[in-house]
Amino acid sequence: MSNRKWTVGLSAIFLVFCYFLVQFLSSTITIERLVQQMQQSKADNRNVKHVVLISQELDNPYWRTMQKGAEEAAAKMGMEIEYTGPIRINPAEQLKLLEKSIAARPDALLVQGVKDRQYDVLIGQAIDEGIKVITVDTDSPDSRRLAYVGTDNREAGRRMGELVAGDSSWKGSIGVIIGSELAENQLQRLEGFRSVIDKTAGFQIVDVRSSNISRFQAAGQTEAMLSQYPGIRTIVGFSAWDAVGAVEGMKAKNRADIRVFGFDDLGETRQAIAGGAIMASVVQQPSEIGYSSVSLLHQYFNGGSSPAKQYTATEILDASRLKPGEVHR
Amino acid sequence: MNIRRMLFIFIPALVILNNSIAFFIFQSGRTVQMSYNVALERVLLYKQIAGQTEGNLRALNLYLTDRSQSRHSEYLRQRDILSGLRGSLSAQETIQATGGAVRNYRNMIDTFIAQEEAVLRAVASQSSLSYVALYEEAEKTAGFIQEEGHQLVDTELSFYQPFYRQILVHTDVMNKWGVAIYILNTLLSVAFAYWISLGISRPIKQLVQAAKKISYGNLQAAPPRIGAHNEFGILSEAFGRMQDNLKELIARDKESLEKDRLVKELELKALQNQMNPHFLFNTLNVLSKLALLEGAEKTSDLTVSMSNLLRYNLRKLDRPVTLRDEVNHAKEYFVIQQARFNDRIRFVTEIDEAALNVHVPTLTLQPILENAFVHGIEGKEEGAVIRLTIERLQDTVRVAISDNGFGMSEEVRESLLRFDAEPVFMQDRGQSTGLGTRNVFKRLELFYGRRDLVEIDSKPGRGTTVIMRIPCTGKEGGDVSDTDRG
Repeated sequence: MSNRKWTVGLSAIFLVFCYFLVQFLSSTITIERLVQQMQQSKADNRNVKHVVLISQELDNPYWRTMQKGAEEAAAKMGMEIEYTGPIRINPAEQLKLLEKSIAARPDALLVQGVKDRQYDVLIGQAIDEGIKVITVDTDSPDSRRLAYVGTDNREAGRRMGELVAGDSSWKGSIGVIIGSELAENQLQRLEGFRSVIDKTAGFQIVDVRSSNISRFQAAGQTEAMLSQYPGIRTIVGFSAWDAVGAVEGMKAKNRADIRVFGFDDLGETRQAIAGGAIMASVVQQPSEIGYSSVSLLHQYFNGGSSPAKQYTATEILDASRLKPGEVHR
Repeated sequence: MNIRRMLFIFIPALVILNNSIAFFIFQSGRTVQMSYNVALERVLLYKQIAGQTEGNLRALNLYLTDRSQSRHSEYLRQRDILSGLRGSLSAQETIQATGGAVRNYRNMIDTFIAQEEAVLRAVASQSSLSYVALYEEAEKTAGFIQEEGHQLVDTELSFYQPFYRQILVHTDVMNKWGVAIYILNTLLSVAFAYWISLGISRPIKQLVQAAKKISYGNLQAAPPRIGAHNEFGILSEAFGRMQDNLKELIARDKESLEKDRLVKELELKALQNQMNPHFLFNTLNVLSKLALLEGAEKTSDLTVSMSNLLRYNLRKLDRPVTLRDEVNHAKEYFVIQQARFNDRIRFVTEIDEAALNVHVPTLTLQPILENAFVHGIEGKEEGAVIRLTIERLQDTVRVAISDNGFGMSEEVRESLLRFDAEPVFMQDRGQSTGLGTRNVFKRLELFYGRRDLVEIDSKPGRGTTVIMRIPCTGKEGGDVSDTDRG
């Protein structure tokens, strides 16, 4: 009987032992699986064309949308998009990123045109190294870039001008906020805008301020502008955050008798249009810019040639064209 | 299962279990190790490349400062190291997250090396200071390489971070269970070993205890009960059987001793019963006196002889007498027989006086003489001779009683000598034979503890000689007088 006790006891210990072993084993297996996962995620894409997209601002929704469009096209055409950019708008940083990208010898570069001599030199250097360079969003016509893909900014400015001057009941002073005085696209828009306003009697631009593509700076500049020119009846923002910032600035000044026009279709802009605070917005198609530029690169890689400029369309977004369900995108 | 096989299976099993546990734990440790190696190798390479780029640039700078051959070769050495590292970078597999970055890194190194070569070319051409701008470019690229290297390490580490976090958690769990397994494994092994040793030592202890009890004389001690079908089971069974056999043997021995005792008693009683009772002796005494009174002296003498014969017969049978007494008794017996047979019979004695002091059992000679009369002489009309020869040999006294009668068949002779066996009855004479003779032989055997004392020499028609060899060592007691007379 004692023997039986022994057998039972030993079996019990053995069962517990087995349980421990299973526990141990499960941990080991989990670790092994993790190690396998670590090893499985190896990259093997040597033959994929490598395209670097240097944005103006890394997490800007406009640039992110462009990235998406570009990636969509890249996925179709067997390319790989590396998206980079300064965290805050910083032309110097953008320049450095370009230099760095050239050193890394990608197959192609998608860059924003910057009104800077050195920038143009770098683009030329890249072309010398055999890197295809396309400017997006903003052109840099003095450089040796292969092509420009993006909005025709003068045309967009003109459309904005027609939009503002279309209603003669709002004749009077116009305050303009632009993203940056260095940014070619902003200046071109302003130029196009000015060409329409100057031809229209009763409208005049009294002030142009730079927001540095910041909502808070736009609000601050609006406040300052309204203090300086209380007679302003229309505010036009040429970069994405300008109109939204202007609305905030007006609120701070307790002004509600001013029309606001903006650019692009941020969620906040759409809400403001739906709420009536912003009259309308000229909307660019960043996704299309991204997509078209990659398609163009594809043509270049395959030996084709294309026009040096490829404009993407703009749309006017106002309360009438805003579908209720589309306020939040 | 027998013990040998059991040990042969269990001990290696235990060793294998322990070793496989150790190996298993070791293997798991290696898996964890491997997980670290996966990332570490690459991260180290990135770092090394970044450092080497710096060193390369410094070597180039030093060369540019003094343009010596040794500096140049030092630079070339540095550049070759960098090229080698770049080669191992290409050979290195990369993860998805850093695939592009690694390619950039590689290309940057190529750019850097190309730029350095451009610098050297510019220096060689001696044309201008154009190498300065080129050097600055290379410097810038080196800066990018540093930066990209850091970036890569960061990316790599942040990619692995969630994995490592999980691995750490699981490693903790694993370690905990691992320790538990070690402890339990030790416990299990000890218990197992103890169990096995118990299976061997316990039966041995039981057997030892039982053997001890038996050696102290306790035959009734229960044999150990070992149910197992191994060597111990067989041993305990054999032990039990041996014990049973021993008991049986002892019992049989006791029984046979008892039987012997009974037989002896019975035989003595029977012998005594064969002798005449006192009544006859007393009557004979009266007859002798009466014969004397009536003047029949011969009758009186015969009667006295008869009386003496009877008295001798009635004495205690378990007490030894001297051979002399026996011879006297035999003579008395002969006198009586002579009265019966007259001249038909002659009694011849050749006696060595020196041999007569030897001790013999009572009634040794007379039954044999009687036998000689009855079976050897009785039917003979005349010339019958019975001879009693006693001579002293070296350490025995040879007593021979011979007749010249009918003799006996070999069968009878042998049956007489087989005095252990049941007496054989001679059917043709209707008279028991050999009982007295056999009794004598048997008593001689019991008295001396030897069987080879008696010899019978006989052939049908040629007479019979019975020879007894009485050992005289230690049995010689000088002249023993008849103390029991009357």
